[in-house]
Amino acid sequence: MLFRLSSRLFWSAVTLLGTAVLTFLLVNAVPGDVARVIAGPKASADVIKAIHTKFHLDEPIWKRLGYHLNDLAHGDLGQSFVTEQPVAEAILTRLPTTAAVSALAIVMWMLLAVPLGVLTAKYSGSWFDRIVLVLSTLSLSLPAFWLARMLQYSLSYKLGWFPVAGFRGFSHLLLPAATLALLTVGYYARLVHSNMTEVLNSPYIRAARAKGASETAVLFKHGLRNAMIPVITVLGMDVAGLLGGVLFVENVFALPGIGTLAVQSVFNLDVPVIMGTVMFSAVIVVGANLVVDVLYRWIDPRIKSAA
Amino acid sequence: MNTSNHWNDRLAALLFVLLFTTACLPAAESPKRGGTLRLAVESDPHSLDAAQVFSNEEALLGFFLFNTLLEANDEGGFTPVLAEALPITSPDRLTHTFHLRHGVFFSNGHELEAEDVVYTFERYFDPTSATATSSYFYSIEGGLAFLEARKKEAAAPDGEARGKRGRWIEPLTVSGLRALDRYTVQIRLSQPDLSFLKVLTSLPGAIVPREETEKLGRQFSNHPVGTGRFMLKEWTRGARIRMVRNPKSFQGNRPGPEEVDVLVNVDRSTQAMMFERGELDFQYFLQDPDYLRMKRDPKLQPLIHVITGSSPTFIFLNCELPPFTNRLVRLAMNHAVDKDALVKVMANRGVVQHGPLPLSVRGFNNNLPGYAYDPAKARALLAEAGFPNGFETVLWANRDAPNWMKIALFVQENLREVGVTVVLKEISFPTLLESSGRRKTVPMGVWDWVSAYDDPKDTLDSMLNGDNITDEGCMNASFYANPRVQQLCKDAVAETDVTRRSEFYRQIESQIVEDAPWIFLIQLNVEMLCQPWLKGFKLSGFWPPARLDNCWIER
Repeated sequence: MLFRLSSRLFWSAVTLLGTAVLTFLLVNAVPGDVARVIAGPKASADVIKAIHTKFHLDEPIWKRLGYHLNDLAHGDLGQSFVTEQPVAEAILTRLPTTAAVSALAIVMWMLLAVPLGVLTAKYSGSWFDRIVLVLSTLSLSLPAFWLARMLQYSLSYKLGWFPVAGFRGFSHLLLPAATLALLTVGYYARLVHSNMTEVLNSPYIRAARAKGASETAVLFKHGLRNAMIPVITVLGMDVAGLLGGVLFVENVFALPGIGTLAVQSVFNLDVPVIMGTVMFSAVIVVGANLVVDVLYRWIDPRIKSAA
Repeated sequence: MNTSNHWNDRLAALLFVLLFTTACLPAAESPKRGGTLRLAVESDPHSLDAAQVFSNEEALLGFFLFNTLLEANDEGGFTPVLAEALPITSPDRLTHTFHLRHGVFFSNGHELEAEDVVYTFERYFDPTSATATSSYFYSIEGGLAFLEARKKEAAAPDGEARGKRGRWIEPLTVSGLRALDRYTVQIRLSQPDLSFLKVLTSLPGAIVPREETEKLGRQFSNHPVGTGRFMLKEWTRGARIRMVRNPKSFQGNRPGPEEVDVLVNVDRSTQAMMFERGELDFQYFLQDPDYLRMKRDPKLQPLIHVITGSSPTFIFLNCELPPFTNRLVRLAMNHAVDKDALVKVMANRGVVQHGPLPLSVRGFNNNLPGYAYDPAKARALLAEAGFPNGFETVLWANRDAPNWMKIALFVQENLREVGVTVVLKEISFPTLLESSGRRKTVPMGVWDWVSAYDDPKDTLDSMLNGDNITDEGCMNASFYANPRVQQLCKDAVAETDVTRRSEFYRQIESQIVEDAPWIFLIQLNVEMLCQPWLKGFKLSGFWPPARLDNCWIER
């Protein structure tokens, strides 16, 4: 167990290092002078030169990669070229918005997916089950930016039920979270459904029914509890995957989260922020995988014995 | 003294069509106090320091925080703001003496003094704080010598902490900037430069507090302090800017909103939706689809305000790169493009461009002949220049600006018809900006322009004066140099007679049109949306095209 954990840690570190090197090389392959972006269109040659010196822009790329990795190793993500704000601070000020939207979305889709999954398992093969199956497939295949725009256009712009965009309060989070939830609910409804179906056919459910437990108790106490173990595990991994969907949704709804930060930094050629947001996402993905991996063994003893 | 009152040319004023609606009618409305002004901007300002701003959106926000010594009025004259009265100008027009308004306070509590004014302009000549707009002030006497001295100090190995604030190489001050007493400033110019007072009305002329600005250094960009009616309360980078009333402002009791709430990074289509839902009080610039939709809607149409032709949009031809070194080729390019059709393609949001100046600039010449659409003549000119079968070239365009891409595609088609094969190079704005300013790099590119103030000098000097060509970071993207134009630019700056000066600029304009360093295309309009309850806003054909710092909300 200890060996497996340390090997996982080692490969996580390798993944992060690879991400750091790759992003650095990619970002530096982009044409255009960063100094010009920082100083503006009319800046004199002296100003440009000063910026080059300040950010080591004239030095060879391998040397700059060295500086960069050294900074990273010391936990320093650098500071934005454009705003001069420390990148870590920029990410941390944007994190609450992204976290709030994601959390709200998770609550929304779980509240929808669990009853849908349970009921479709219970009434498997009925017209209700089939309609949910079609809708779930639809939810899975919709592109995030398209759905976000459509909901924004119809529910906010046309009907005025929600604010169109921007972040001035809680109500501004509802539609973006609902968008994310709609994109994911189908998958979870199917996941709960298939686990539930499997569980409902197992002997201990028959035993529960035989001892005279009520149908509600059978479904939720005995059935759902067991069916949820794999669902929770997948959810843990999805927290990392959420960052991808959030990126589109935040941009459509102009929410100041990590997603918009990433996109803006690309437009501004703001190299430290581009690298910072990529590293941040990489850490979240690698971290979540690690945590799930460890938790999984703890939740489900069968894995441990197999290893 | 007020120089522009003598300006004879009223043509620009006639052409300067504003579609006024009830929102602008001053009929018996009493300005109210209260409410929140809700705005949104497309990108996070890179700075809110008056010296650093360059986009229209940044300048709009900057005027909430800062004041200038003078403001331009509708008659082409000036209104004193931080100055008590219009400056006293010497007969040779070289010296302007300003008496400052007493009891003006910055939002940090410091009183405005003559020293602050001196510092404000001096910092444009300090390499550590020099900005994109530094060159606006180059006519201040002794400024460039001061800049050279500071550069030498910076290059010296032991350049730390010697003399006054680390300065030891003469001159230690800018000779043209003097605080005569606590409330009196004298600005001396090396040349009469009749545009100088106009420069002072633009945002880079806004006065900053010496102590605070020096203390904060580059952080002043994020923590601006001014004398304006508002002060910065919160700026969450990339998210939101909130400004509240500056209790120390000398205009503090005036009506208007209590707060300005600016959402950051909202794209223009989303802004338009928010505007329609009443979530925004004002919007700058519209995308074509939104504009066309709103124009057809009788409820929204009156809320659109148009400034005609204030943004010339053109293609620069690099006069140092063959075949554009040949004037005949440049003429052929101009004859090859059907400008009338282009205006239609651009949803009629502009007028055909005949010369380099924006329509809104006083002194604009409406009688320039321009270049008629004549593909046969274009082909003949190309043949005469030695390209009977045309040639191949590359047109650079900013792929993120829909208007520019539209123009690029249109011109590409037109040029194909006369045998010129144009390869489109779609790149990001920062790359275009950087490359177009470098010698012999970009053969042709789509570009636009808004004059910073109401004078031909800004446009002609920045973009078409051969004296200002540099190897890198050059604003004269066509690298156009005609000795006659250069001499006329010098003459114009030295001229003290307004009529003769404007005659010089007329000659410059005609010469430029004759030399055709650009493909003259279209003078684009600037459109803005204002809610019916937003009152007291001011539109102009300059930078920024709207001022909201005196507005109020009435509903």
